[in-house]
Formats: sequence, C-alpha cells, structure tokens
Amino acid sequence: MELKKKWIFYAFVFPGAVYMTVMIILPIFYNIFMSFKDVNLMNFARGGSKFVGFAMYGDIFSRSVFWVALKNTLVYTLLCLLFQFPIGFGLAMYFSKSFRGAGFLRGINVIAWMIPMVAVAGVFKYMFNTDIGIINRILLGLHLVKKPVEWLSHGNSAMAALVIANTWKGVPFNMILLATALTTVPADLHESASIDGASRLQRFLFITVPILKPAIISVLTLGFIYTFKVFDLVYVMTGGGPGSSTEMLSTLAYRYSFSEYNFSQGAATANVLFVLLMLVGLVYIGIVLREDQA
Amino acid sequence: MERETKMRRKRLPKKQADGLLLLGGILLTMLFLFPLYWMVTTALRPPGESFSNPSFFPSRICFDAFVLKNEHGVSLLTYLKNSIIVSVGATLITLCLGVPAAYGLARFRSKLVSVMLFIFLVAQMLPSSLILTPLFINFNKLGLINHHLSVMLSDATITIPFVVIILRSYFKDIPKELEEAAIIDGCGAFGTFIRVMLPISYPGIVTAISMSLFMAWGDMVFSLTFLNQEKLKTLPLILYKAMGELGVRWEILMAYSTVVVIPIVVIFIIMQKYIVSGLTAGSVKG
Repeated sequence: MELKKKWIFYAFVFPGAVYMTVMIILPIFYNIFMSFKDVNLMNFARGGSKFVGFAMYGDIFSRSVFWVALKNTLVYTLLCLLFQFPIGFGLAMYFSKSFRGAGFLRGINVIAWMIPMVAVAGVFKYMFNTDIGIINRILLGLHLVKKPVEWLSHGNSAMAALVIANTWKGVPFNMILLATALTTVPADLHESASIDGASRLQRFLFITVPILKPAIISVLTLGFIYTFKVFDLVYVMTGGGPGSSTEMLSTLAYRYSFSEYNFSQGAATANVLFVLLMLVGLVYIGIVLREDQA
Repeated sequence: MERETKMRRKRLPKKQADGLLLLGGILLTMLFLFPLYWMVTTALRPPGESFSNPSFFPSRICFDAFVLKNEHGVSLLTYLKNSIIVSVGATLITLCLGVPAAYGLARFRSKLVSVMLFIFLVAQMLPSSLILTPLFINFNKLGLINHHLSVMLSDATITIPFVVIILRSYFKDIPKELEEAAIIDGCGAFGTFIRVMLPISYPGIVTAISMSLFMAWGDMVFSLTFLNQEKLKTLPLILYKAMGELGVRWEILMAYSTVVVIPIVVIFIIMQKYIVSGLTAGSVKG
C-alpha cells in the first residue's frame, strides 16, 4: 500500500518536527550550555563570557529566594490541584446527569478555560482589590470580616488569591475531561450494583473511580504541569510579591534574565524548573506512549 | 435507562427532576461565570460608579471606558490590529506545520514516530521561560526583535504541539479504508490527505484553528519580551502595562480585558459544539 511508504511519512511530519527542533530542542541545549557560563549584561553583546562549570547552580542554590520560590511553586500547584480537581469532578458528575440543557451548560462553563491568563489575572486583581473589590464588599456585607482584607498586600492571602484565580481557570479543564470519561461508564453496571445493595458512595468509589482512573491520572498530571509552570498569572497579579512571598520558579527565572540581565542565572533557574516538570511530565508521556502501542 | 432508575428512586416525576437539575445547572453556571459578568459590567458603568457602592446592574450603559487613544497616543484599534496579525499568523504557521504532522503521526508507526511524538509531548509541557532567552538572542541576531514575526514564531511553539496532540487522535479514529479507497481511485498520499482526510475531519480542524487562535491571542510573555515599540504591542501586553500605568482606573482596565475576552467568547459560543468535542476527543485518549 502506498500509505506504508516511509518517505511520505517523513514528508508529512518533517516540517513540523524540524520546526520544533529548531525552536524548542536547540534552545533547551542552548540553555544548558548557557547555565555553565556566566553570561550577563556586561559580556552579552561583546562576548567574553567564560565557563564556570556548576558554579551558577551553586550560586542560585545559595540564595534563599530560590528555596522560597521552589516552596511557593509547590504549595501553589498542590493547592490548585486540591481545589480544581474535586470541583471539576463534582461539576462533571452534575452535568453528566441527563437533563435538558446539560450539554450546553457544561460547554458554556468551558469558556473560563479559554480566557487568556492575563485577563484572568486582571479581573481577579480587580475583584480582590482592597477598597472596591467585590470580594471584600461581599465579605463586609455578610459581616464575615470587620474591615477590608488587604488580599494582595500579605503573603498568605496573596497566595490564596492566586490559587482562587487559577482554580477558576482550571476547573473547566478538569470538568470537561472527566465528563467525557464519565460517558464511558456503563449505566447497567451502576444499575446492577444498586440492585445488589451498593450505596451511592460505594458505587462511586468501586465502579466510577476505577473506570475513570486513566482520565484521572492524565487530568492530574496535565494539571500539575500546567500549574507548575505558571507565569502570566503571578507576573500580572502579584509580580511575585509582596516581597518574594508569591515568587515562583518561572517568575524568578524571568527576573534574573530580563530584569537583572543575569542570563546564566536565569537559564540555570529555568533548567531546574524544567527538570522538576519533566519528573511528572514523564509519567504523562509514558501514559500517552503506552496507549499509543495498544 | 439510568435516568429512569434514578428518577424512580428519588420518587420525583421526571419533568420536575429535570427542571430542578436545569435550574441548579443554570445557577451554578451563573455563579461560575460571574467574574466575566463583573468584568463586562464594570467596563460599561458610568465613570466613578465602580468606586461608590456598585449595584448588580450598571445604572446605565456607558462606553466611556473604551478609550480609543491611550496616553502613549496609540489607538486601541492599533493594538487590536496587532493582536489579529499575530494570532492569525501564528495560526497559519500552526496549520501548515501541525496538521500534516498530526496526520503523519496518526497513520505511521515506527521508532522514529515515537521519538517525534515524544518531542511534541515535551514541547507541550515546556515552561516558556526556558526558551525565552535563547529565542531572544537568536531573534536579536536575525533582527526580528520588534517584529511581529518573532511573536508568531514563538506562539507557534505552544500551538503546534497542542494541535498535533489533539488532531492526531482525531485522525486515528478515522477508518483507514477511506484513504485506501481514495488511493485505489488514483489519489496520491497528499491528494488523499487534502481531498479526503481534511474534509472528513473538519470538526477537529475547527477545534485546532480556534484553539491556536485563542492561545496566540492570549499570549503575553512573548510580546512582553520581544516587542517594546508601543505601536507594535498586542492587547494582552497593553492590558498588563495599563495595570501598572493606570492603577485605579478599573473601568478602563476592565474595558481592555473585555476587548481581550469578547472575541474568544463569541468564537467559542459559535463553535462550542466542535471545540468541546474536539478537545475531549484529543485529550482523554492522550
């Protein structure tokens, strides 16, 4: 069959693969190379940067801001997953019930996932505003707080605001993938279990969850990856502040490279971020490739 | 069947249960999408109303916040035009490179296919801060800094992997017999791809086009890094800059946000059926 000819495959895939190699793979190696040198504003244009081995990594690890950023990134990612996954799952279950308009309403909620991060950041920054933000107005109106909360002026509450904003964008992503997976759960399985006296919770835990396991794993791993590399949201909403209380690895890397022009420091930080991402990323890639063999 | 048993257990007539679920669904949706409502209505309020105690509905609709010229003397329409150029350009690059690649990866199987699939999967999870500096240095050498092409090319590094992964599983679900018939009828591999595969898979293609438009439209970090001439900047970048410069002029900031968000909402609602099914077809199967 003509379809089996090798060169046709190359003709289809090569342009895209070459593009990705030039724009992605080479920069990854370039970044590794640069992290072993001391490229900064002084020697960037003129050249003359020299090899320093692992000194740049020693340098970034010796600064406490790196460990703060690492901790923040982990806390932020785990909190986001902790909220967006159950909420998304709950909405998926709700909109999987067969009632008129369920499909349409489920689809409309996906809009939140499509909104650019910079707009999400802007809208939530407004809603979390101390003086005129709607969130403080509601809290004050319900007498839940005595005076306006200065959300973005304190470390913990700024982190909470980031988590809430990102959860809003992340929920529909969890919802839509899990809702699709829910359609693969055979209805008669639930029915016979319920005749056998299984409670609703038992049916959920022992029928729904096991069947959904592949979808749950890919939602959690993909969610981790998308959340862990957060940049726009933090950069726009808090700028990593106050102080460095919401500094993330990605914003730290950006600051090193494009505010302080210590390109090697930035490259080393970005590489650490990449290695951590790949630890979870490989789980996801493994799932996709294994499914591909099947 | 499932519906019937559930309803029987709840002892509610189907019609009532249906209505309650629908009502609950509408309330959940309104609550969830409230931030978008608040954004648009803030932009449409008369000046100052956001500062006093704003009611749920604006007291009257007012377009003052959609200032056409900002303090840099650049028109909002210029930013809009830049955003359109960049996102359409990035989408064209994505379609030319990504769609054939997705097809190739869906139809052929070898060690090399797995390697290439691996590259696209890694690219999908890459933090943009990783490639910013190398791209900046190379674009600088090529004279592409302060040129829309640099942003288009960078946006495509995000959109191509996304499109490849979604469309690949879409193509995989299309039976091979169709192509084989076309080939027997004398179509070459490329003819088959263009005349048979693309028309059949248009829902997937529509998803691919919409998603890459959305992703490129929303980019801030590449524009932030590669564009510093005012007249070249894109809407998301200007929204970010305005947040620093305008500070408390929230009605103007929300007007900018609205301009960033509305095209996406409109395209999404029109294409909802395709986008939602295309996204799920692609991502659950990996």
